[in-house]
Amino acid sequence: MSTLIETSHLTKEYKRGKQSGVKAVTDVSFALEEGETVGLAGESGCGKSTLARLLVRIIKPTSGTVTWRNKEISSLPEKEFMNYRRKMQFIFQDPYASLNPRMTIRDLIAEPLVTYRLFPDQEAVTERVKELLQAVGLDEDALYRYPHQFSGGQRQRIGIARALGPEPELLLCDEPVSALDISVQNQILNLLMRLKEEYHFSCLFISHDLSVVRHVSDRIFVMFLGKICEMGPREEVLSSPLHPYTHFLIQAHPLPDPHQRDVKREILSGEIPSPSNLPSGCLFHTRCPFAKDVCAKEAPPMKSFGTRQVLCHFPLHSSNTEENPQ
Amino acid sequence: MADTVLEVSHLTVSIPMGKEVFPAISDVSFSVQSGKITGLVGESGCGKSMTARAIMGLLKPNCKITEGSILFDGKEISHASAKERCDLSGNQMSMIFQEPMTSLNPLMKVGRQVEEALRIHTKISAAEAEKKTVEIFREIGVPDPEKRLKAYPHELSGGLRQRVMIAMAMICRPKLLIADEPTTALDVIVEAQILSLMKQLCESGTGILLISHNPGVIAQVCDDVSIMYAGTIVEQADVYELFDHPMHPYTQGLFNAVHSLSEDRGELDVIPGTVPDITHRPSGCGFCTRCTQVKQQCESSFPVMHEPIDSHRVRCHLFDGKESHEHAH
Amino acid sequence: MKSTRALSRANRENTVRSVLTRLFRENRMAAVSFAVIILFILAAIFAPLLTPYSWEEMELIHRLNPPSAAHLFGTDEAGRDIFTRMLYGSRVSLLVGILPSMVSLAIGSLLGVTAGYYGGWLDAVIMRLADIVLAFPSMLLAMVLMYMLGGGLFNVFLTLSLVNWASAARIIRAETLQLKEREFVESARAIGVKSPKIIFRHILPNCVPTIIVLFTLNIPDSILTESSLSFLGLGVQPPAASWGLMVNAGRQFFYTSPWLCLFPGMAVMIIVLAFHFLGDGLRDILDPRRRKQ
Repeated sequence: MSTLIETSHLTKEYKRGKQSGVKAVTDVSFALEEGETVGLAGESGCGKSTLARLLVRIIKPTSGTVTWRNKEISSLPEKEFMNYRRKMQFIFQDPYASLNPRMTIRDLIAEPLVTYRLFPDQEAVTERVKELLQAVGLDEDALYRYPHQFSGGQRQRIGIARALGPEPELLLCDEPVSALDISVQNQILNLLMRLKEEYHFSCLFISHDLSVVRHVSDRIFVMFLGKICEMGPREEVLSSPLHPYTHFLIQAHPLPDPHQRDVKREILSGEIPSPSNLPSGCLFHTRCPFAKDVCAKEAPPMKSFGTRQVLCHFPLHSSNTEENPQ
Repeated sequence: MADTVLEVSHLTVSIPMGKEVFPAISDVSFSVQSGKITGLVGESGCGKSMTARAIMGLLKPNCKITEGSILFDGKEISHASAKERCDLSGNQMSMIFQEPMTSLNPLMKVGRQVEEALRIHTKISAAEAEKKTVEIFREIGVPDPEKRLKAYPHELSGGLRQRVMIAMAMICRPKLLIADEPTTALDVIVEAQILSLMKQLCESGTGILLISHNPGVIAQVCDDVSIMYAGTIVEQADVYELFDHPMHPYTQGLFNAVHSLSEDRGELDVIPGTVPDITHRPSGCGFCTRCTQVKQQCESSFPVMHEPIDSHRVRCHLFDGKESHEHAH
Repeated sequence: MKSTRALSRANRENTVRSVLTRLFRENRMAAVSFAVIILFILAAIFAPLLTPYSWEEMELIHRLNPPSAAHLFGTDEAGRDIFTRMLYGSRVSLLVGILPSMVSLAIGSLLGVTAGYYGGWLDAVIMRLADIVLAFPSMLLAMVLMYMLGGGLFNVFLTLSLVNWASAARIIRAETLQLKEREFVESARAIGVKSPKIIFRHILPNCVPTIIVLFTLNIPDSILTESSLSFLGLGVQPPAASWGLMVNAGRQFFYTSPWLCLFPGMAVMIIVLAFHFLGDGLRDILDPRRRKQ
């Protein structure tokens, strides 16, 4: 397996006048392997959507680099970057807001194909759009209809067809099912998994819902206040989280089983610190019940345990895993 | 036996769409006991919010309650006048909404907004009202209540805003609290906090109607649960009974969809198709377009509520003639 | 299958013809308004054929005659036939109402969308320019411009176009700022669609309802500004006629001979209402969400 996309110290800071601004994403370094699906979990405002947008340059990073197959692409001029845009397609959260209400389904799905000039003429584009509609399970007669004529789930299928058109190697899914009803969510998740088998793309899957992330991902990244605080294989992260924050996130997940509710859950109290006024040291120490003096003073380094990494001075469950030598 | 605070029976609300009139909800019956949480589960467009609005008297002017009754504390309120409503709303029954940001006035300090809710219904001094507000803030876990009183909504996090909304709803100690998706806009950790707060509130005697699309949330806190689909209640039982033995094909499909996410399976279980639009609901069972066990009569006749097991009701033709006792509901 | 596809293809295209058919089928009021506007335009073109009088011929014996069979709308203070003068005046008023509104809206929309979309210094420059234009009372600005340019119909057009673009630019800019944040614009940017294309495909089409409303509001403004300019001796000069000029001239006879300003005033009102309803209908027809299935 080789690395498809890699970020190094990626940071996005929103400046407010001359004061030091709000850091949406701070010093994020990760690598995504070819063919792999990474689930990016975290609460709203933790910077997970910003991170995905930094990769495709909807937002420009303040510092740090993005590397695509060992080639640095973050400083490429827009014209050259277009070649890489084609390989990274985006699926948005809200299927109601992400489709231009004044365009037909054909034009919506054709837009990326036309933009990258993938087909010689309009006829060929239309043919391709028909194929794509079929691939996502929609009828051909959707072609000349408008988004408002479709249900939420169908619109998300249109969004997927649009992203699939240029045959991307990386699909960035930003909460693709969280605006949908539960009975429809699974249809979309199944479709994405099936398409992944068929088209062999890698996937960065953002969701606040751990059960969704668990289902789709090979590895899970957990973000907190602009930083990735834990990375590791799905089962290990969920069954024995290393970072206390991951632990509380899992504990808070509402299980659809009333018999489980009498089991005492550990619920984290307090509030997330404001991103414009971050705490010193470890960002989580103000809420962390395991925090010691050093947590308030020093920012923890990223520690590696085999295939797992954690940003914590005192990782949980670490006694049964050996820290890798630095 | 707990008192029944709210008894909704055979409620039907119709809404005009274009030139025709459609029933947005039909034959909805359930009750809320004091000191208990009743859950109402359903997908978007199933009529759960409409039910809440009908109870609160907040229906849009073009929507009409055409049938059924709403008994609040033994009094019929389905056609209450505006004045009667004023005495009830906020005082004896109150409601919290999904989006805590848009439900608060952005130009008013939150303390003032909570006090106002109190002073509309009781004649007490401003100082007294402030004291009570601090009290309730402390009770529902707002840190630094004296300081938060003077904060504006945008200065608070989503979780704190929802707590302020709850403080506003609870300050008159209502008998009934309707919570319409109170945690949907919140993150899981805050959601867990708010849910445990709801439990604590109902222990003090308030009856709560909790509306949610998420079976997980319902399973965590509710005592009784009603499942809504396409404008009517399809199944209703005690929470343990319902989650252990779901009877209606829709309930089964819904629960399987949620469960399969927490177990390892290749394909996720799905309910095929989509929720029918209000103008295209089938004349028979609302679920017949998506049901895997559909029979001929499902398409033509609207099923009645059966009670195959005591206090476990289901609206499905599969249970025709399978009553637990003679007097069918 | 083939025929349904052809049908749906025809259906999606906003050709003038399909828009008109839909207009007549779905919105009676807009269709009537469209007919009224066409009628006014035809009347303006064929004015000489519709009246036996000349627009400047004075019959002093027939001063201030009330409406009669001979003079349908009566005569004015110089004994000229009001109906005739309105026919000829509509040439000026319709042109002055419609053309500058179109030009100023085109300028305003383009500048507004550019300012809103690109932001930065471009935004600052365009909006300060708009502020300057808006800071002057529009009448005063129009007068200054007319003094500088001199009289004449063309200069009236130019002046009205230059005066009215600023408010349109402001409103379209605000709309653009909102649309720019919508996910479908973000989605286009993620694909790498170039900015001009985003503006013309994703942003401007979604501004159409606003643009249409602005257009219908602009027409009466222009007609009335023209009349004020004429009144001040800066626009169309008497004895030439325009509706605005006629209303103005008739004002002093309002209590004794109300028909002098009543009929041209009603003409202004009718044409404004017609454009308003037509605009409403067009907005509905051009929006796929409002289209009837």
